[in-house]
Amino acid sequence: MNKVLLIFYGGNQLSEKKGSFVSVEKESDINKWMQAIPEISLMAQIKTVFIDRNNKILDKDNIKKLIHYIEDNIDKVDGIVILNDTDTIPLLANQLFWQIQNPSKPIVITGSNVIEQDNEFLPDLSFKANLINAIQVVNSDLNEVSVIYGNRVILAPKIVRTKLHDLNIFKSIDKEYLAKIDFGLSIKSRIKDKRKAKYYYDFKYDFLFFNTVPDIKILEVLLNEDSNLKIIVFKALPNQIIEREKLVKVFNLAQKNKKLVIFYNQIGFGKDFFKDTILTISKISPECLTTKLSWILGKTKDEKKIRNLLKKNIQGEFLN
Amino acid sequence: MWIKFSILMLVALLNLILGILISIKNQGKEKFIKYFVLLYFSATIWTLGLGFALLITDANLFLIIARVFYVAATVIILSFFMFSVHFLYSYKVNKVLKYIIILFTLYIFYIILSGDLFIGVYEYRGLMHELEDSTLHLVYGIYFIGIMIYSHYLLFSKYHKSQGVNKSRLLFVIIGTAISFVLGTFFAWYMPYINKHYLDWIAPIFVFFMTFSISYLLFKKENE
Repeated sequence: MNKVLLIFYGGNQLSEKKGSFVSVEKESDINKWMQAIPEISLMAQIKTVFIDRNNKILDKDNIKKLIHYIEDNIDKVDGIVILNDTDTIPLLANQLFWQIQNPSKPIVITGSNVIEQDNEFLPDLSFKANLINAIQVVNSDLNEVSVIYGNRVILAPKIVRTKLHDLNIFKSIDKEYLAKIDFGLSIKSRIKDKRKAKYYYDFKYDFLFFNTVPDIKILEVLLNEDSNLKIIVFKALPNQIIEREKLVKVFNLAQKNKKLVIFYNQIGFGKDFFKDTILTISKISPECLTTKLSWILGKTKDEKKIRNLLKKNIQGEFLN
Repeated sequence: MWIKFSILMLVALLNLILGILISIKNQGKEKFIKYFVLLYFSATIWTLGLGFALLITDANLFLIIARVFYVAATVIILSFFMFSVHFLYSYKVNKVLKYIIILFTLYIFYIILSGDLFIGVYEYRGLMHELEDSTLHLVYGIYFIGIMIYSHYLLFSKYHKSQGVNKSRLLFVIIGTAISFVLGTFFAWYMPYINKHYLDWIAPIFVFFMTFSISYLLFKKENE
């Protein structure tokens, strides 16, 4: 029988018949929770780990603890299933995608989606199925950091949330899925370089991500030479590309105060007239970009290296 | 005769194609996939056997073919049983029941393969037809229908406990297989049991319901 490490990181509310939930808030709750879903024990030998996040889902120490458990146990099991709140699954998945590169076994993330609507808690329609199917994915050769929800197995950089409450609340940005649950598990293999698994424990969020380009007066304050902020990412919309003068002003200001400015647009830039001046990044999800940048900043402070690594397609993170 | 033969060859080909498609598309390590593919390959052999039996004029050759399609039919129900045990997750079958099924299966294979204990042959209008011993035919029916009912019971109890996408998967499987097995058993076992062998060739056609429901699961396009 396969061995699975089940990590309780959050998002584990199992609905019971009477409309109540069983959840794990401390280690001693695990037994009762496992009894509510005996099916997974029939599928694999389950080893459980509880991480007390103290409600800090993406806290650096918690993520390091998570990576540490994964690195310590991955050779002793056939795969790892991580439970997390659905709201932060895309960010967590992308963070682990960068901090654990070329995993030697499947690392599957899923969670329970309990939402409050009109003073009523709506239970998850899929959690039990997601757990059972996550263990099916562990039994396959999908050695990736992936997310399973509903009938879709999605690679971390492609995941986007599209619905609040449904059978499938996530989809792949480019409609390409690692696998789908139809009759069985239909796997679409991904061409990957055969490299050894790498674990990175350091990452830094010493940057700001703006969804638009603020007024130049605000930027003068942020990009001030004395401010601790070294990197700013701006989400550039098409009309802002046309407003070239404004962007050049921002760049010159950043250049003068030795700050790195990055322009980001998920769909792409029509004309790369910025080339060697402003750093433009496109065809990557915002979660993947921020976690990639945090991983890079954990490795280096050198601006040239940061630019090169951001532009480089390291793990197939850029979309078609 | 040639029309019946052609229909059965077409059904056998469809079963073979779907068996291959399932094994290619769902190439994971799941046990239930392997058992379901075995079911389809056995259904192919069963259908081919029934088809060729329509044309045989030699009694000895007919007996061999009849044994082949009875063995194939037994493998169909056994593989379906194993599929229902392992679909999604493995169900723990009661030990006593497990031994009963094993012993009963061994007895069934014995009666099929030994001499003319179970299966006989007679000639009618130049063609050969099978003639089963009625008591053993009844025993075979009890065995087949018993495992069919128990397998569906396992699937139903999994359906009852399931949620989300697994619930709909189970529903399609249950509906497709139940219709196929009930109608198939009616024409392949009951009609011969009441000495109306001439309709047994229809039974493989009902595999179509299972084929349709599984194909729908495999190939349906989602709204993104």
